[in-house]
Amino acid sequence: MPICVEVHRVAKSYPIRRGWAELFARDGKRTTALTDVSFSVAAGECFGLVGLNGAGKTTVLKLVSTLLRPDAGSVTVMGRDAVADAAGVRGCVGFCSANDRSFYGRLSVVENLKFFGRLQQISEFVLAARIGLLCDKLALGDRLSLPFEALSTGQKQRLALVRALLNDPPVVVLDEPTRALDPIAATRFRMFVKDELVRAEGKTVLLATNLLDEARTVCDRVAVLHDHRIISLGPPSESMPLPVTCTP
Amino acid sequence: MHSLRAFLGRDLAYQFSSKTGLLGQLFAVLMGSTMLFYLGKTFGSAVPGFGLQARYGYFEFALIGVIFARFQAVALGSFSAAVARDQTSGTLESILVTTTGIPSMVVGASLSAFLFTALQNVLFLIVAAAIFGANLQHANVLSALLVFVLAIFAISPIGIGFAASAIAFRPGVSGISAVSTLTNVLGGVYFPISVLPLPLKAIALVFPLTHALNGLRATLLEGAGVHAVLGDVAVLALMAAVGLPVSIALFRSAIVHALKIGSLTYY
Repeated sequence: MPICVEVHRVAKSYPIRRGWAELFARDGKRTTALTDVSFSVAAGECFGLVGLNGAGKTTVLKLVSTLLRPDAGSVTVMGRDAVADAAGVRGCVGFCSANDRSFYGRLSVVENLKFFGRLQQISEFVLAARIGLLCDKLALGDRLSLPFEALSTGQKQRLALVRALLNDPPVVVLDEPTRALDPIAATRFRMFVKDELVRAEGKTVLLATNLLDEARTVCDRVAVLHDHRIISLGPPSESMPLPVTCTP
Repeated sequence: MHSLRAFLGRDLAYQFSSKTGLLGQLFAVLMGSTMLFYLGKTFGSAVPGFGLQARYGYFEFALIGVIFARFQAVALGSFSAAVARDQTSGTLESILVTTTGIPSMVVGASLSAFLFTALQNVLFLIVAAAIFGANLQHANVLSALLVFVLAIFAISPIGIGFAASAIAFRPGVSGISAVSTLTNVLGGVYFPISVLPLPLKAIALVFPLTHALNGLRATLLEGAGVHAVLGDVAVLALMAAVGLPVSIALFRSAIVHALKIGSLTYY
């Protein structure tokens, strides 16, 4: 299978001082997020990033989604460099986070989806069709006129996935998507990712999670991040070295 | 166009999601006109330094000042507000992962703000003319439009600079309100700058607002052509020609800096 996402020897750190103080800081203290991280994801593969909070999972996803630039190394998606061709990469990636503040609370479901769809330069006709199709698939078809703030947590999470899929991207990035879901909703969500996105539609999925069971259920391969490095990479298995507090 | 439509659609939906907010804005326009009208009645044209030979009274003088000050507030604040609002609400990250880049996002959100302000200001003028009899019959609309566009281009670089700061560091709008207040006081919104002492008058001449108001009052209230306000037009054009490239370069640097340190998604 061709390589779809390639992260090559990436390093990333953040300044400790933020705001204007950072301009005048002479000590240049930084906190490390990633050190020499490399992996590649094949087209149609579901790839998991497992690790403790603060291990660097979200940083990897933000680098792939062009929300950050690496200090060193490179990130390519579908052959496009995430720094040199950021707009091209964004056209290939659908980003779904667990942040339920990422929508406009007072706007309805359909108003929110139209806003983000238009920002993806989707024509009105195609957008209306995609909204209808995806909302039906994810059981949100009868919620279109409700304000976002009236949705349940599970519905909000499914809506975030609908938004990520609006422009039918070949790569889908999921950042702890089941964090706030109850066990049944989380299971349904995982099944949708595995059966619909990966198996039926052939999408490439990058999934960050700190739930090992989730990675085992959904992912073809898993990278375990610990201390800002990948300590293990391969198919999920019982023998995989894991940070001790990772939820088994 | 898709991006502009997205921001207009979002902002319209937000405006109409709060009926009381919309009514409040209409009420503010009505009260603003009422206040200026009665201030005009109180002072007439007997303000020191305000020419008795003028073809308009204090009401019209302050009306143009207040209306353009509202546009200035948008030019100063809308660019950074476009970033800061979504940064603090948590929606910025979701916007930034779309194919709409930050410059298009800032321009789209600002155009939307300009459009809403323009609609409010048209309403302001209609109320002022129809209810309170503001005298705008001498207006040279084309010349006023030229001054207006140049003034917006001259003021916007300051706003783009504040947006660059919000992108690179944190949402911070205290600087905007300081600049806005200072220019409103010294730039001639409520009284002619001729009443100011010489040092303050010299400071006032540095502000684009001062030249914008000179030009707009002359063209809208006295019917002057561009030739009559050539000095103000030249200053505004110079400020725009220098300010726009500098502010856009600053804005681009801010985006690169923010992508490096990850400040775009703080909230």
